[in-house]
Amino acid sequence: MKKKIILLVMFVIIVIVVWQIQRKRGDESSKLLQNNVVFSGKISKIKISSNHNFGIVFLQTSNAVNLPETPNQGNKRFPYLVINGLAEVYTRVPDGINVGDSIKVISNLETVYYCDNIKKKTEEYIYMIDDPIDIKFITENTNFK
Amino acid sequence: MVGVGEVRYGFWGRVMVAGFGFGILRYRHTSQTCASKGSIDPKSWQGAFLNFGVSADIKAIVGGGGSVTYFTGGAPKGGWRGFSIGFNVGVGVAVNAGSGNFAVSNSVLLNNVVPTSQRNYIDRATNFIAPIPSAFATSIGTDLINRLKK
Repeated sequence: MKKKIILLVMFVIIVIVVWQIQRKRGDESSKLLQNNVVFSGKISKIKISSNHNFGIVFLQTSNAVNLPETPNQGNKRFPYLVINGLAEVYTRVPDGINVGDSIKVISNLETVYYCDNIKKKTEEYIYMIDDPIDIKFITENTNFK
Repeated sequence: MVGVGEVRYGFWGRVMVAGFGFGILRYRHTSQTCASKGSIDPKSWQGAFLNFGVSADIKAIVGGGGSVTYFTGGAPKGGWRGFSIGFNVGVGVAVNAGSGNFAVSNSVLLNNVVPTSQRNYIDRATNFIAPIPSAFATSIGTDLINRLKK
């Protein structure tokens, strides 16, 4: 019985440690995204992976401001990349988002906003990408090769 | 939906003959506050998960065991987090006095997502009683029907 209680206590400690690591990961991501980047446009293409709906939303934009100089920050990747008016947003893609919908990225709010032609609005988190599965998906499917 | 990737074998000298588990899920998703578009999407469940768990026999030899696992998958914000509690019965002579485990698993979607309102009661009942066989049966059945239609 004593061993089982020790085991359970160890489990609680592991959960707390993992939880804290994730919270730290989230906080670091939030800090890096406070860079005043804003841009918007119309979705031209969507590619979705089989990893928790993570995908790439392609769009054209003409109003991107304060873009980061490099797409990476250490081993993390910014959730967007804009080159010559062509943009890609790397995030989970909510169900029902289609080509032609409007999209707006506000980095400081860590949010991407979607709006379709009947004015239904959806929003989703953006975050610094550090999952190797997602980074591999971006590398294989980006138009910026 | 089935979690694939964690296979236990060998050193316990025990064969799992039945298993049951359930999960308490927490899913943060900003679009819950918005219009219906982007509500919690079953498709977003599929993907990689990290699992941390402990297990032990509740009663030695007879073969009743229990386990509790914390799992996490997806983004640091808005991803899937939760606990699953499992019970199992087994045959064999080994006793699991207590063990910890860590596993990387991958969940896959076996069949198309169909809103509950469009599913018949038999489907809902079998899915509730035996989700894994039900998912396989629905997947194979749907595939068979589609092939016959061609």
